[in-house]
Amino acid sequence: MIEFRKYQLKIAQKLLFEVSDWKIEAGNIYFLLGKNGCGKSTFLRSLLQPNDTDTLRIDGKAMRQWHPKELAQKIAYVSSKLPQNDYTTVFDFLLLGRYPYGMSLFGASETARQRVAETLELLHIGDLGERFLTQLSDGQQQLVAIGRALVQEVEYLLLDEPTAFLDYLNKRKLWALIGQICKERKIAIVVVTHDLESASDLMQNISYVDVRQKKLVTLVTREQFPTEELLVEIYGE
Amino acid sequence: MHALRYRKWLILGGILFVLLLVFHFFSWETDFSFLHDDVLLYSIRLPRTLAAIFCGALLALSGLLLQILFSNILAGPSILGISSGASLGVALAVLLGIGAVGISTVAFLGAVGYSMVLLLISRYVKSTTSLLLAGIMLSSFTSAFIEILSVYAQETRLKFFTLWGMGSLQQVGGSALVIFSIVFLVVVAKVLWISRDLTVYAQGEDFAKNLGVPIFRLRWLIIIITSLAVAVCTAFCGPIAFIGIAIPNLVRLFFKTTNTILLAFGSMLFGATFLLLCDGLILALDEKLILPLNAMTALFGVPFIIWIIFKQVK
Repeated sequence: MIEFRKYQLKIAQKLLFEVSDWKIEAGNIYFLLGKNGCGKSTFLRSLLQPNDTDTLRIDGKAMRQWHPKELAQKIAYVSSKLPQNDYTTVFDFLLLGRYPYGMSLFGASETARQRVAETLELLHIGDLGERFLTQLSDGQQQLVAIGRALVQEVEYLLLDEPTAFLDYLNKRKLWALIGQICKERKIAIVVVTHDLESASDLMQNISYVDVRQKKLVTLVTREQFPTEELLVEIYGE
Repeated sequence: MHALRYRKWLILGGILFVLLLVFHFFSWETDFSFLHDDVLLYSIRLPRTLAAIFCGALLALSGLLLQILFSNILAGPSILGISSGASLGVALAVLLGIGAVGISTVAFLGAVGYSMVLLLISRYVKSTTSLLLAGIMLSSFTSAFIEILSVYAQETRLKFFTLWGMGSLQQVGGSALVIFSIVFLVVVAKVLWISRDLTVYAQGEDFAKNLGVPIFRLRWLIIIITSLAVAVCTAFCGPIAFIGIAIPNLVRLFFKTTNTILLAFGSMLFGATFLLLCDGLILALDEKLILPLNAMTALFGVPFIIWIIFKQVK
């Protein structure tokens, strides 16, 4: 469980927003909404680096007690774009997800290769293993990005605008996949998105950044969303 | 399956390396009488061939590391000016006559100091073009100091420094080879040790950070390793340009991988082969033409780099 108690997200000493009381638990998908530039992505990335704060605890341990590699075995962050490296194959990229567990100097272990093969199968992209990342479509890139996090075998998955570059059909497919992963692997997923329409089936736990009050607000019931009044409060006029 | 992609290039590189090694050792001549002359064999032929191997391998490896560190395939010890930093150290030692501390030591200090300034700039300048421009500017700034030192230097020292600046493997003797061997072993062992971190880092700094790569330590290690390698090569063989930028790109193009161990091994193999070729041609033509080593590496390296730039624009 990730627990926030009066956690303050700051950039260069400037407060972006405060998370007064929030818990992220296994088997749930949490949607984080807010207007562009309010600090949603910064917030997700702040969960990846050990720091001095006591106001954020992961599995009962304060952030400063985590070693970066241990933390990488717990949490993975997936951005909306893959690294653009000319000569990285999908298979090699997915293998990098095993880095926090230690990598052999003499090639990947059998376990690592097996994890990658399983992930390729789960995502139905087994035929893409030998392709270079730069040869993939936007939809395939997003699947591969999520695949790397699955190979990492984390308990908390942070997805930053996963459907940003996808067409309608691929958006629907990806949300279905995210729901399936959460259910089957019993992991907690935090999603930052503006894609409210395609994701609506999964939206049970919704929070948004209140820019004026500089705080994260969690909606109590699904029925509170999306009302016209609330959308104006989140995104402005 | 993808192993086949680089296996053929490794075999081809290996064959070329052995052939050019033999040609270089025998100076492209059919007269083998020097094999019975210990002075010629152990003081001239063997050190020069070994220097070509060490220097070519270390410069190419340094180029690869810098390209990963700066996330820029156009980075290299000469383009970014790290060789200039080492040159400034050598200039101070030679032109001011303070060589007592050892040319390789001052070259190392010059290279480390320069790399640190460049790394500091790279924290704020993310654009490839701007960073390369900053490297060229810094390099010119360093050259200005060298020119000022040259004005006040004694004639004999200036002549020595000018010849050194053209690059040559002739001056490498026994003690230099010992230093070369130690540095080579240390650098290769360290690169092997951090190769997994480098493979992840090659995908981007943020990506590596999120996977738990110790970024700060890694950056420092790369700076120290490359400074050490460039400093030793520059101190003993002069500022040899273009190997560091051209060879890692060539290897990347051949191997089509981002696996750092493979790229490092390939860069060393092809770097050594390339310098054996360049210096071998100097040996083969020495009765008709006097060719500086730097001119040879530039003649081969520059067209290739321009081709890479064209490829990037496309």
